Amino acid sequence: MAAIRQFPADISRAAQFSVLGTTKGPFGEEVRDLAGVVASRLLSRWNGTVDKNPPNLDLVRDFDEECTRAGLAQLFSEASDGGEGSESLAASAIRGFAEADGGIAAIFLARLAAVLPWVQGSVEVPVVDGWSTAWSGGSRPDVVWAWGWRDGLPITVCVPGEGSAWRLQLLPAQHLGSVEVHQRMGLRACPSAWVRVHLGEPMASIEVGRETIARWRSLVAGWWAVIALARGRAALSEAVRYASVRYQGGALLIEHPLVQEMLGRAFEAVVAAEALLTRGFSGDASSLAAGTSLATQASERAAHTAQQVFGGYGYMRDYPVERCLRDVKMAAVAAGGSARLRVATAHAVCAAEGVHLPDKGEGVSLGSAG
Amino acid sequence: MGAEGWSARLGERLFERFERAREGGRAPRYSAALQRLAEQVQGFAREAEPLVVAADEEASLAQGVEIARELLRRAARAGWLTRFLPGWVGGQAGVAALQQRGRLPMLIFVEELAAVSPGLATLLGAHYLGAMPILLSFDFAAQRRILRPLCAALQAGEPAICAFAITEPEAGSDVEDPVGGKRARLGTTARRVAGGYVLKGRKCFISGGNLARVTTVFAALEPEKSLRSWTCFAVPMDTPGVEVVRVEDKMGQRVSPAAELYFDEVFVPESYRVGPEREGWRINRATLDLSRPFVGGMALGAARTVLHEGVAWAAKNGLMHDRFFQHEIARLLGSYAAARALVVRAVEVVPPMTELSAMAKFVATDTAMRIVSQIMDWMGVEATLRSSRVERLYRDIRLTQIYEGTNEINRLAVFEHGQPRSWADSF
Repeated sequence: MAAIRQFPADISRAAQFSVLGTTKGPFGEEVRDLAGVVASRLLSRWNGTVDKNPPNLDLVRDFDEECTRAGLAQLFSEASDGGEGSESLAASAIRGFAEADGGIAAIFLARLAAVLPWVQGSVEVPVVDGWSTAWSGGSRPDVVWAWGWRDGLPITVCVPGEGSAWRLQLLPAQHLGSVEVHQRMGLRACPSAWVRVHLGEPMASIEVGRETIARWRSLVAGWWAVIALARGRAALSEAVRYASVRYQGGALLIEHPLVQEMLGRAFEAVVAAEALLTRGFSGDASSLAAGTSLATQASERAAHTAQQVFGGYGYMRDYPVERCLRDVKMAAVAAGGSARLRVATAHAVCAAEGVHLPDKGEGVSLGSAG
Repeated sequence: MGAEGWSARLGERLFERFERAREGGRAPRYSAALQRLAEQVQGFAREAEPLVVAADEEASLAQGVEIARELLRRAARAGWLTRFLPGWVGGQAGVAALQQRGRLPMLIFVEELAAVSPGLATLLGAHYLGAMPILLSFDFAAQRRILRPLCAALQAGEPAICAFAITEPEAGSDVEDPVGGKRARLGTTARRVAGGYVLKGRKCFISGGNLARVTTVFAALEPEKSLRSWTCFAVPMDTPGVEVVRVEDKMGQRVSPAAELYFDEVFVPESYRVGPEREGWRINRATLDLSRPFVGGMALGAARTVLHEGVAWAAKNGLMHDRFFQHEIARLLGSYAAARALVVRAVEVVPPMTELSAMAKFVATDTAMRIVSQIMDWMGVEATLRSSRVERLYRDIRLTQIYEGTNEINRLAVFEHGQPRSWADSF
């Protein structure tokens, strides 16, 4: 299998990842820690601008450079090459980023999704600015929703191919027309944009079947769910901290059985979803689909519960939980939304039973991009 | 023609009319007069929408406050800030203000405002919330003394609004919950002095608190007795010692500023005490019982817009004949209709019942949140753009589950009077 190997020289740390084929902990602790370190560095440098509209494009450039320096660029190809443990590895990196900031994790996810078809399709593509492309999906062929967009990056787009197949094209930056950068509800560190594209003369092109696209889509949805879960869990941690110091009716909030039940209910769903996703990233397609669906619901409930525990303070931007809710909802919608994800679960479970349901052709968007 | 032929023909004609009416498919929502009111409010809200959006963008808090002030000026000029106050204080509502006949128009008012912006509904509605303790004290002399000058100023187009201050930095749910409240230590106190009282303490998250001319403030006469000594005061906001400490940076409803207020040895004359001493809790309760169904109405007004947006999106994407989508929308519509029926029932009951008001609040706001969350899932990432109305309403509706008591506290309020009273009889 030929992966992207044309990295700049400064990838000394990438060598460390030779040991990462095996993972430790639910998603691979080393990668998770490293991603966390990179995210913290970015957060300390760009403090106050990560949750702003319009997004900070300098932060994205910095992210790309930091990831290259840390060797996470190398990880891109390893994490998405379909080899054993690679999907867990990708998830653990996303989780590491998301524990610090959901938006930064979303940039990483966008880079992973963009490179996924080329690595898994064994197509060697030129690398720009270290390693990355922006990833796009969308229902209109000429205007695409590009996640992780920044100036100068090529874009991976997906268009209808022969018969029921889809064609993926890597379009160079000079083939991109007008750009409208979005102002979004959540995960704001990760820019997205409507980009007008001119198809033809791509840097690379590959045709894939519906099943392959469906598999990739399920994987990418799972990655979004990892972001949602991490932010949901972060919200619950904040709620526990708050409830341990705040009094209501003469007792600490955390001492109230009602609050304990609310937190317990939220936690059990988060823990279950984490377990299911871990199994899913180890190659079990139905666990991945069910885990994704459960994770988006669990994380929405978690963020919602945390905000209720905080009461009025939870609605104020000085406290972190309102942002957790916006980020979680954004990730859940990007993963596909509750009803679509339940249908995807039915598809996966039926397939495991040998019943193959017809795909309604949403393959054009890897996830729910438009 | 025999009697049989005549009755058969009558039957046919009635059946035809019945079927025509059924196919027409619309039950009139209100009487003609209320329909006119709804249309007037819709007109006001539509004109206000660009300002609402401007305040919701990344405008500074100061810009947001200026926008809120301008909207209040417009509302005052249009009569919306006196319309639901009784005539004897200079309003236009007549004696029906607190009666059944007066409350359905108020529901329509907040619902139609919230259909455009729950923040706009809070901005205007908080003024009535602030005036409500004064009205519910049933002290007519105090009502005239305090509210008449405000109404005169409002009619002159000045944003002379009221605000309602119960929440404290260290007491959020405590001031909404009689059980917990008994053990709470309240930080805002009132000390008796010659001719009146001196208030000291802090109130937070006060909607319109930074814009108000008069705020109804609840303070404990004896801090150790907590809510049992709570007393309500109408505090003119230009009194020395009143300070607006900060305006909150909120997740949504950004057109409605929420302020933290500090009362530093503020003298309030006895004539500005609202109701008797130590009757604060009762007045607070009566106010919340009255206002909670309106919070439900606000959430549902916004949810109605979201449903329209969802259906329009489905039509644009050719999904209206998709049985799966029909099923999903039907589920949401059904829950919307049930919640609204509960809100209308809670508004009809006079005097308001604590249980019913609380249920209307938490059922309606939870339903609205479910609707907006589900529709957003359907519409996908485009609904998460700040340019999308659904995105703004998602953030706005969320607050309705938190203020006027979190929904958890509202659920406990169902048992506030021991066993819920007359369960079956109330529906």
